[in-house]
Amino acid sequence: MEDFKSISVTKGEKALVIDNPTSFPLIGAGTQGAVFKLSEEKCVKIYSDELQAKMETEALKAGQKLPFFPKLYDTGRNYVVMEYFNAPTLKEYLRNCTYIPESIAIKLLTILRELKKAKFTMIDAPLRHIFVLENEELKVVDHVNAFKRIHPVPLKLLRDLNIILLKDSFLAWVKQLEPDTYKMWEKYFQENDLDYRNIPVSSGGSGKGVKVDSAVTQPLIGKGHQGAVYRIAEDKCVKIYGSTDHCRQEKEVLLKSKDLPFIPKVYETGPNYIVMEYLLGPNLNAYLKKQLQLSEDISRRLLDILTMMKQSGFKQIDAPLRHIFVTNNGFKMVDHVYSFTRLQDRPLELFQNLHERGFLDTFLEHVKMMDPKTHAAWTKLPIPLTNEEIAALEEKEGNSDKNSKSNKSKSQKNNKSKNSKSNKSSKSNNNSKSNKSKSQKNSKSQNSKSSKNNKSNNNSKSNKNRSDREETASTKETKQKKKK
Amino acid sequence: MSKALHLNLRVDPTQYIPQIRQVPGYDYIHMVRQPKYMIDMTLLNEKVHYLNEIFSPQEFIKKNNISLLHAHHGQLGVLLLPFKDKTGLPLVTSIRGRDATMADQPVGYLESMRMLFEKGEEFYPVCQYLADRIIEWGCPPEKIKVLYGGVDLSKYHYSPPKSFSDSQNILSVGRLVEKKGHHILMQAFHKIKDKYPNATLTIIGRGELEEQLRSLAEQLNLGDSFQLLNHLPKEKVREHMENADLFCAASMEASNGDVEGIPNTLKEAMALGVPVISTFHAGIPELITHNQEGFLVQENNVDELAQALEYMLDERAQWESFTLAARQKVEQSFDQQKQLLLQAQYYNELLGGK
Repeated sequence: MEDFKSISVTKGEKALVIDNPTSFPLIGAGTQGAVFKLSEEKCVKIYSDELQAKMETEALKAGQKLPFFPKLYDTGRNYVVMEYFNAPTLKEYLRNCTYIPESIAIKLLTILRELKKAKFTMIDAPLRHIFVLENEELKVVDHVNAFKRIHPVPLKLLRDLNIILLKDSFLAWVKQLEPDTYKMWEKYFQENDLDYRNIPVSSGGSGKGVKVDSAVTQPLIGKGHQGAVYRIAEDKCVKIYGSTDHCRQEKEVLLKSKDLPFIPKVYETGPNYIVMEYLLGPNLNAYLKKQLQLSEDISRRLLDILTMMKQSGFKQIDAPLRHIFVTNNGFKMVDHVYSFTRLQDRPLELFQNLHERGFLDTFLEHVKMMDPKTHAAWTKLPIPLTNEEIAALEEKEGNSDKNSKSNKSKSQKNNKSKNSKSNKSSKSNNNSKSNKSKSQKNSKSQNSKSSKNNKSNNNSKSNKNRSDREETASTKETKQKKKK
Repeated sequence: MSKALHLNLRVDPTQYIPQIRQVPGYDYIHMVRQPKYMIDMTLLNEKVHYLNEIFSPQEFIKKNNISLLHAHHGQLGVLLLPFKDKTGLPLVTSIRGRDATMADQPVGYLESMRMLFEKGEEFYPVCQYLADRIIEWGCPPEKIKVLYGGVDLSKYHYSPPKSFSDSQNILSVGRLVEKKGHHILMQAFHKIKDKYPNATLTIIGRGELEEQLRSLAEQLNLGDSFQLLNHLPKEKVREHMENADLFCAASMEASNGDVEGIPNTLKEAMALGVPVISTFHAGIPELITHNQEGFLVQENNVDELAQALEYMLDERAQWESFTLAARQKVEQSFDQQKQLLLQAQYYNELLGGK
């Protein structure tokens, strides 16, 4: 008889390292633990961190009387054996719905009510942790933070519902079915409204995303290495930086270049924030995914941006596709923290992005026709298309900004390509999730993958870690726009 | 001028742009659910908006001075219900085919449609057949106004059929999905091929069944007499239509229950003066009376369709009477300009003659 205890799950540099000598299939993994199917009834979640196992055990024990908790069979120092559900997640179950069914709304409200009654502090669950059994019975997994995090209002649930456009209909049911709950939520949202001039954001340090206070209820558009972006009005958003240096750098670029047509408007600045134009439209990467060809018009607009950058003294000449928004006022580009400080004379990331979309050759042909000189300058040296090639090139050219920075830019590159991959795999979030915050992104793509691929399985995929960090309280689609 | 907010699936030239952007007397907001559904930059203008990006529905409608919501599919009408609740605007919903069936529908679809029937002001099915279906589902008949889709007659001019030519080119246009019945047409064509060695069959479209149809063609040994062209620009499709001897739409109910409204390509062929063969499916008999404006057979019936093809190929002398009647029918009830005026009139009536 095989023993799952021979499976080892440890924390690697970027993701979990899993060594599974058994034949128990891995059905989900996150940043803190991995889940293996033991039988049709049971699965085991193995943690890299024993404390997490303990927290989950406590929560599961406390919840055994609740009908929507998975049965707990066995626990150990670093694992819990619990009920396995061969069923779609609520996210999958609701696919293509345009109005959340009343029956589901009632069941969700019941779950929230019972969590509260049982004195859990996390009155919340993301859609991918809720399974829908045959008779539409709901089961909720992953209770690691049940007593750690404080969510009196189901922020994650609302955020997830918002992404699939079902938040409004859910709230309509809440208003009708439990008017008091609705009022309580409304009040919570009002009280936790964003005061961006006073928002607590701190730099997460190298390789980590910025930390954002989870109590903020403003729609978070995106966040990464350098800052978090919140929508604050119909046409405005605010980018809040972890470092005042980054803020100052980007401010300088945006203000000095304010007459360039691709630069978003700036409305207000502070030591660690910039209020700017909120850009409406798909990012160019998302847009190009739906195109059979690259039009000359698009090549022309890209070339124009790069040419203007050069003429205006930008040091970093690049235009990553996901940083460009197709608005009804032309192409707009975000994320200019390093535009004046990092020397880069060829748009390498753009090349990489176009290559990934299959349009690089067409683009270069168009440029050759429109601006032979630029074409010659770009193609004098081979164009590096893999991360290794880019890293090698940066070594060779000894990138202007020396020491720590060149490192950073490298690791950033890495991330980015990873993310663009994850972009591809995740359908629902088509809008440029862009980069940064390595580990966060990682866990995200893992989640989105696992929720998609493992149609029918797994308890508690991942995301402890993710929730730790992500705690955004945002109810808006996490649509990473400007940040870094 | 009043302004209507339209929600359709994509910003895309195939998605009934005139019914959004050319309604006489009505300015528009062209809304799609999310930015990723804006897939054609040539149609991007300052009137394009994204539902998921609306910060405050109340402010949005005030700022844009909107007096009416128009959802262009059943499920989009359902999606707009919370928006309607918050803004108090009247909501009308077009019903175009699959949305009046349970084909591939999400959980709770029928219940949500019934909520829409209750709360929505009006429904514009694209044919009486779909009107009857939603009445069966519980839509109050007094909320229903049939609104046929029209053909742009300034682009589709009549020319007499090729009654005296000896070419025998049969054309069908439509997405490569089951309800278009392309596979039935190919089998029917196979049946008559030996008798009419010069006859050809061309299918224009793209879709999930491409591989299957190509292998069916091989299996039936259709050889050079058959071609499948991938989606062409609309002007090219029109050229193919003008050059065809016969146009055929073998529409049928798909195994999942998906149905047509009235295929636009049939109306276009009829406007151009190409004789048409089709089936007694969904709203098609509202466009074609059998043996008057064209020839109709039972849906999903290879033998009947083969006989109809034979009949039409043999009776060229009758073509002109068919095509003249067909053109007249289109001018009467399927002229885009008239239909857009009718749409505006429906809006006017709803808004109290404003």
